[in-house]
Amino acid sequence: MQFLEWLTAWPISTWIQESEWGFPVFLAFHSIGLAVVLGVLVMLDVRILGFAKSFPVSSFSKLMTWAWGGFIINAISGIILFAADASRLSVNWAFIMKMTCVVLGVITAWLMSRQLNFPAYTYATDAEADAMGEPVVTKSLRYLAIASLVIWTMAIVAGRLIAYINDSFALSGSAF
Amino acid sequence: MTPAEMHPVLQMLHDLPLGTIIRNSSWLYTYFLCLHFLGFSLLFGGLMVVDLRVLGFAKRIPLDKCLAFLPWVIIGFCINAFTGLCFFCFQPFQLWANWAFKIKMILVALAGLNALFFTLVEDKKLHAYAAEGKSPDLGMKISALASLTIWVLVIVAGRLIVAFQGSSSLFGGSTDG
Repeated sequence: MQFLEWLTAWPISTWIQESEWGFPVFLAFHSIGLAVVLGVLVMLDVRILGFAKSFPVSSFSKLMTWAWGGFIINAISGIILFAADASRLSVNWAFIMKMTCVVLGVITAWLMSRQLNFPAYTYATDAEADAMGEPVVTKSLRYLAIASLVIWTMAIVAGRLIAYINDSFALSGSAF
Repeated sequence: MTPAEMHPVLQMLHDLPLGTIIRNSSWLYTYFLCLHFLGFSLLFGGLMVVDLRVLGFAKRIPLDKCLAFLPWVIIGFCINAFTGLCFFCFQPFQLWANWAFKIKMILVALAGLNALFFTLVEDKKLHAYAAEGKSPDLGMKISALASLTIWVLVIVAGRLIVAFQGSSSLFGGSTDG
């Protein structure tokens, strides 16, 4: 496909393909972003599920903005890593699975943020936020938290498998 | 055989069941790596919140409440210590010869010392400051900044282990010893 070839010809793509450092540098950014995103989301999920109860749920409104920051790091480094190896990745089933999980994970995080009224807390002054009190943890939030944990775990597993799968819809053997 | 490969301690670790189970399985290494990522997310997420709060971000979060996630940080560390030990037993000779691995281990040790310092010296102050509504002092802030910096560098060094393993494969050589 022309589009994939165009991506692979980006200067940054050729740098990743040819230099010893390009690939590890962007993977390092990708890992740091992952730690930020998952760090915050896993904390939110376990808090919703009833652990670490002394931590106020409303405080996650601020942490979620950090998580989105981590997500942006990963979207950018992810696009660059994809561009460098576009034709292989576009038919790699682990990559497709990972992208599916990421989309589902983002939707879950967005639904949780909305149900917990995070946008209101983010823009509220301290006095307004105090007046709003703590958001109520509903049953549907608990289901979303479980879904979030499962989806992001699958995203990590699929992400690891990308490296071991070399052709479309077939396993390279070493991973299994 | 290089001198490192004849090291009896490395050989002993190599022969432990922890390494053997990974060597005998075609998928365990991959899934332990996934666990290593999850463990790291727990570790880094929890610490990042404490560190950034101490450094003056997200001031609405009560200072002492940030510590609520420290048990999860410790769970994350334990997951990674175990899976990490398994990785080392899987291929001790390669890792011992890998400069990125040595840097990572030194950084983890530094982070451990920093955490110990924070727990022994700064933790009491933190609770006192939280009760009085005071901002963290310079010592706490330096410790928090060190923690963030070191753990980010740990991630980078961890990635470099794989990149500079002397193998063109990302799998990092499934044949060992």
